Amino acid sequence: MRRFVFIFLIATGAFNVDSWQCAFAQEEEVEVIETEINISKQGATFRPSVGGIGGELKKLYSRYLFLAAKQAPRIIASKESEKKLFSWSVCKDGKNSTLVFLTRNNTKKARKIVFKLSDKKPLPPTYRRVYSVNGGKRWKTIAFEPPHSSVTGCFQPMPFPYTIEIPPYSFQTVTVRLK
Amino acid sequence: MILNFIFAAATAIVLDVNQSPIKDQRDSTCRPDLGYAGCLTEVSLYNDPFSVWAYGAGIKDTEKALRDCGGRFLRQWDAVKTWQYGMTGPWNQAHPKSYWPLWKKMGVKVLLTLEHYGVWPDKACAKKCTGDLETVKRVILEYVRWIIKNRYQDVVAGFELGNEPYFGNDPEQYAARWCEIVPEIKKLWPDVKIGIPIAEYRAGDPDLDVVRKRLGEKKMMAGGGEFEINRFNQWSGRFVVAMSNQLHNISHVIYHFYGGDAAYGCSQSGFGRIKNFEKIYPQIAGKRVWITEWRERSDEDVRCHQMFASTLFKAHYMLACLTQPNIDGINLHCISSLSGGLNISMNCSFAGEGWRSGFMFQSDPLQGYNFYPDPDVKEGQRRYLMGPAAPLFKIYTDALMDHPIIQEHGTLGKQGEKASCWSSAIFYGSTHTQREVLNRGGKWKDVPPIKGNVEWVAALNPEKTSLALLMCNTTVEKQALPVKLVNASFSGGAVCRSVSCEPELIYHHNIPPEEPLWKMQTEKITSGFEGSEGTLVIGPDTIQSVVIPIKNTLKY
Repeated sequence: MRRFVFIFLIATGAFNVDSWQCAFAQEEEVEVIETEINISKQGATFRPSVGGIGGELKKLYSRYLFLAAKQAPRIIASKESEKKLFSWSVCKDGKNSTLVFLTRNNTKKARKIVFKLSDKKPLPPTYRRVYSVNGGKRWKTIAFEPPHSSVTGCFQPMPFPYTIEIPPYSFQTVTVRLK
Repeated sequence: MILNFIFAAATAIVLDVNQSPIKDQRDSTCRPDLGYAGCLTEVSLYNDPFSVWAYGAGIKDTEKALRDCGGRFLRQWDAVKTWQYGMTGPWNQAHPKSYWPLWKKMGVKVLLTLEHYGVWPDKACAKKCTGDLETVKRVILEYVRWIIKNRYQDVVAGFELGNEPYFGNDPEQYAARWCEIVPEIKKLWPDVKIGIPIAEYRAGDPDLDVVRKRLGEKKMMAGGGEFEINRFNQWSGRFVVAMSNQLHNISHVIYHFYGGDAAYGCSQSGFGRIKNFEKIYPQIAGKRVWITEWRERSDEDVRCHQMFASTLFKAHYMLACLTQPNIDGINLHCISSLSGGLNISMNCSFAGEGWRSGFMFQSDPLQGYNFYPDPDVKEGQRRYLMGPAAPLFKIYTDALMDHPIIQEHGTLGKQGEKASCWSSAIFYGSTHTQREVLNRGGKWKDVPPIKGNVEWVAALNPEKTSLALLMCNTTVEKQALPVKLVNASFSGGAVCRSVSCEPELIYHHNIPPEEPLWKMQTEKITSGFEGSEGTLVIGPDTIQSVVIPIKNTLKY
C-alpha cells in the first residue's frame, strides 16, 4: 500500500522533493547549537576559503562566500566539528550593523543555531543556500528570506528565539541586519 | 507536502461570443489598461543618474526590460518639471528626446501627471521655481505644444491633474488654478483625456499611515481618527464642486488604492467607493476611472512584493479591475523599487560610504542598508532583472493586446454578475493567517487552509477568431474547468503561458539577483478542445493565459 501511494504521488507530480527538502520545518530531530554573539568584539579579518570542497559545490558556494566577505569582513566566532563535516562561523561588518552566519553541513543531520544578542535586534535573515537532496551528489542553490512576521515584516525583528536553520547537506551564508 | 489532485469544477465556463462585452479596451487610451506607475525617468536616485543611462547608453536594455515586464502602460510623476529639467540636458535626468521616441516606437502609453504648484520660469531652469499662475500656465501649455509638435499625442494616455493633492489644505484654490489652465489645454488638444484626483479613505488605510509618517503629523490635517479621514474625503467633494465649471472637460476621475484587505481600497471595497462617491456627487457620474496607484500595502515594506503570494494577489485584483466596465487604466505602484516590476541594479553612493552596486529600494528607515548587493556587475554597471510581478504583467498584457474585448468574468463555479470580485481580498486575508503560523516556526501541516479561488477573464480579438482566457489559481490543487462555447467552436490547439510557484515557497521572499523562486512556461496544447467544448487545466498557485483559435458558428 505504501509503495502504491508513493507511485501515485510521483505520477501526479505531487512529490516535489526539492521544495519538500528545502522546507524550514524538518520532521526529524534537529540538533540545536546555542551561542551568544558578542557584536562589540573586534574579530579577525575574514579570509574566505573554499578549501575542502570541490566541483559544482565549490563553484556555487564561492559566489555566496565572497559576497559574504564583502558584506561582513570581520570574523567574530567560529566552530568546527571533529570530522570537519560541519562548521559554522559568524562575521560582522565594520559598523556592527550586519552579521553573516556561514554554515557548512556535509552531513545528513539537520541543525539550527539559536543565538543571543545583546543591544541590537536582528531583522529577518537572508539565506543564500547551496543544498543537495541526494546526499551530496548534485547541488542546487536557493536564495530567500523566510516569511516575514507581518505585512511590515522586513523592519520588524526576527521572532524570538533568534534561529538560523541548517538543513542536511547545505552550505549557506545567512545575512542578518541589525536594528 | 502538497497533494496535487485535480479538482474538476462542476459548472463549466459558458461563453457566448455574440453577447455584449463588458468593455472594449480599444476605447481606452491606456490599452492594455494594466500598467505600472513610474516610467524610469524618476529613478535617478542615491547620486546615480540612472535615467540618463536608462534612456541613453542602456536604452536597448530598457527596451528589452519594458517588453519583458509587460510595461506597455506607464505613468510619469511630475511630468512638466521632468520635461523642463530634462530639456536642459542635466547630468542626472534623461533628455525628453531620448525617451519619448522609444515610447512611441514601442507603442507604450504614458499617463502624465501635471502639477501646477511650481515650475521653473526660465528655459535653463536656473531661476527659482515659482507658483505664479500665469507662469505655470505658460509652461504647461508649452509642454502640451511640444507634445503636439513632435506628434507624441498617441503616446499620451491622458493628463492627471496632480498627484494626491488631497494631502493639501485648500481644494477651492487648487481647483481654481486648474480651471484657468484646463480650458487652454483643451483649446490646443480637444480630444485629450483629463482626470481629477479623488480621495476616498477609510480608517486604517495603510497609505494614510505611511504618508502621515513621511510628511510628519504637523503637515497633515488637524484632528484624528475618522474626523481626519472625513477631512480627506471632504476635500474631494469640495474639489469636485469647485471644478464645476470645467467638469465637462474632465473625462476621468482618479483613485489611489492601497490595502488589499477587504476593508481597504485595493479590493472590491474600492469599486464600491467609486460608485458611492458618484451617488453623493452626481456631477461626476458617468466619468470613467483611472486607478493610477494601487498596491496591497503602501511603502512600509516593499520587500513583501518579492514573494509570489503578492503576485497572486495582484493577479486576482487585476482580473477584477478588468471586469469593471467603468475602469480604464490601472497602475501598480511601481515599476521599480522591488515593488514587483523590475529589480533595478544601480550604482549608488551614500554620504561618506563610496560607491556600490545594489538593487534599488523604496523607503528604507535604516537609510539604504536594505540594498541587496549585486555581486555580478562591475563598478559602474547597471542592469534590470525581472521582479515577481513581471511575468504576470507580461502574460496578461500580451494576451490583451491581441484580445481587447473583455467578454466575461468568473470564479470557480460562477460567472457574470454572480461571480465575486472579492477573491483578492479573501486570498490576501488568509495569507496573513498562514504567514503568522509559519513565522512562529510552525510547520505546513499546522497552517490553516488557504482561502483561494480560480478567477478568470475571457477576452476576444476584434474578429472573434481567437479567445484568450486570463486565469489565476490560488488554491493548492490543480483545477480543471470545463469550457462551453455558444455560437462558436474551437478551431485548433491552444497556447498556454504560465508562471507558477511551489505552494510551500509562495511566502519566501526572492533575493535579487539570485534565481527566482517561480517558473515561467509556455506550452502548446493540441488536444482537449473539440467542437464547442473543452477543458482548461490550471496548476496550483499559477497565473496563466490560454489562447485558443475559434470560429463563429452563428448563422444569420
